[in-house]
Amino acid sequence: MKSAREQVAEALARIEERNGACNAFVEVYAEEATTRAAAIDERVAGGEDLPLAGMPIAVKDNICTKVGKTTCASRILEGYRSPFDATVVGRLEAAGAVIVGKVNMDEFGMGSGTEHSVYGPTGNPWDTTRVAGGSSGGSAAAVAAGMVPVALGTDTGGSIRQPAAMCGVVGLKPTYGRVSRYGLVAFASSLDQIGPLTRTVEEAARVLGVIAGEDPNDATSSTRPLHDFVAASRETPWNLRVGVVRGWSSAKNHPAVDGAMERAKGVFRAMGAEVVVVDLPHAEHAVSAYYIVAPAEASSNLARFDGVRYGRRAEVGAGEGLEALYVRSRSEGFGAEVKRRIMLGTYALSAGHCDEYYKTALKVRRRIKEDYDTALGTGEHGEGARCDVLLLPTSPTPAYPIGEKGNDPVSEYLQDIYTVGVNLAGLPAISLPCGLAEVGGKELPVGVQLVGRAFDEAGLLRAAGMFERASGFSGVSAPGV
Amino acid sequence: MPDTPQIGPDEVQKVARLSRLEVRDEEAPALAGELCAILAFMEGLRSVDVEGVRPMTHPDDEVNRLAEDEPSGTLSRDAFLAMAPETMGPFVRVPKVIDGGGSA
Repeated sequence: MKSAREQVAEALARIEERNGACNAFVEVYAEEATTRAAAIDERVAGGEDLPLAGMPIAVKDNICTKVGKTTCASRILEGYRSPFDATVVGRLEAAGAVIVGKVNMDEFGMGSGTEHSVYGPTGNPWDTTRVAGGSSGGSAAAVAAGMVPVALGTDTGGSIRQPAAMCGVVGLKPTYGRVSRYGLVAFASSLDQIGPLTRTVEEAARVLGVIAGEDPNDATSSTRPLHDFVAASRETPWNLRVGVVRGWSSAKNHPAVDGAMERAKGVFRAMGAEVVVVDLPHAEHAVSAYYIVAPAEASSNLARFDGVRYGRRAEVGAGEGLEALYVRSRSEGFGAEVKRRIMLGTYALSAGHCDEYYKTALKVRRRIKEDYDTALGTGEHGEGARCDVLLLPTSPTPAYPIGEKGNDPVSEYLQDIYTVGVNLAGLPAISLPCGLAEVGGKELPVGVQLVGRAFDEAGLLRAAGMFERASGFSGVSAPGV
Repeated sequence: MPDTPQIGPDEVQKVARLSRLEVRDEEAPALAGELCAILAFMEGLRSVDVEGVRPMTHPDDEVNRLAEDEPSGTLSRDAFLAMAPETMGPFVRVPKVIDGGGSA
């Protein structure tokens, strides 16, 4: 067992050595982390049992930490220092973990490639000319490059799972309400969740066990009981029923993704699981519903960034007033994709369009949730396929070249076709490495996704642990790592 | 929903004003095109039968429970003021809002 000081020193050395190639970390807290590690070693020497003693952790830049800056990779929060720690950060530190730095993301979580960042894009450790996925691309790259064993990410429409898949790591999005969001800068409040990106399912379970649970500071955190997630991730004897989601015509998969799905089905069959085909008839509308609901909520949440109380304030002339201050601070502070989504959301909520866009999207959202309930046997009448978990791709493609999506928002939004439905329904899901595929002359990881029942992360992690052990796909290192 | 979403540069400027964002005249046509493309993509929602379906604003019915009515700690005024770009004494300073202070 390595001491906290050894673990942290090792992480800091790897960040120093490897971060230049992929731009995962936007800030590193070498001094603070080293001091904290020493304090943890003392507590352990004094007999304290800390479940994450000395574990170096990277935190996505939209989660508040007292140490360093919290900027959401946005110019509007340039230099912002939070006066408090997010609940998840406090819980991790209380468990002995050490925050070693903040990692890159798409501005406010809006993007699928960590290209929309004031710090520039994050490169994928498997091929640094390709994206790491997004919006938690810095989190995924930091873990995949072996800089840290664990990073926190956030998932509003796939932002933990998709980068995890593209970087070949495990990414867990817990059930809506399972993890406190106090101290998370809100993007879309009915969708956002914090979760871990790790090398293994068991590590994800360990971190979830620490960060999950009710928080008096977040009225949307659930009071439902927690389970022993680590024990669940190690369990084996179980008659697993896996629902393979029948594809829909609008989803055009890269052959590498179809290949990974076939491998995954084979792994489940070989372990004796029952594999059945299920339909989610409304799921192909999830991207449309999501890109109305999420921008609508974002347009409201991001109204607070006005240059008055915190963040970056634009210069205004002597003759100009408060209105000019708001408009200029926001126009200079937000990037193009954030502005596009604020305007899209504002339009969808505006008089004359609210019913046709926003309310329709919310009704379709319920249809989508009902589909998942039916497939998972959690519907009102317990009807349906009664699957323990659903298997589907995480992303329709492996990592794509940086810059490829250019200014084609719809093409980037379609990256989220397999992930956003889970957020709309509020379910837990995990992306697992499912082998490598040769793309553009390089080996790239491909992931698959398991979706579980609401608040049944234990069942999800049990299935994920079984898959990981049977497949041997996890823990494969990026080249040069 | 209308048959094909029509957002022109004027509509873009209206939405920009509601969003407290500045869109330069030369940027408006391209932005209008992007928003039209996004909204056209969403036309598929019209094919879903949502008759009688209750809008779903949250995934969980447990949300928004009330806390006990007990006093607890909070951040100090100084902590809040330290975040502000410009302060004056115990206040956050902003440009004049009356007497030609704009339309806010």
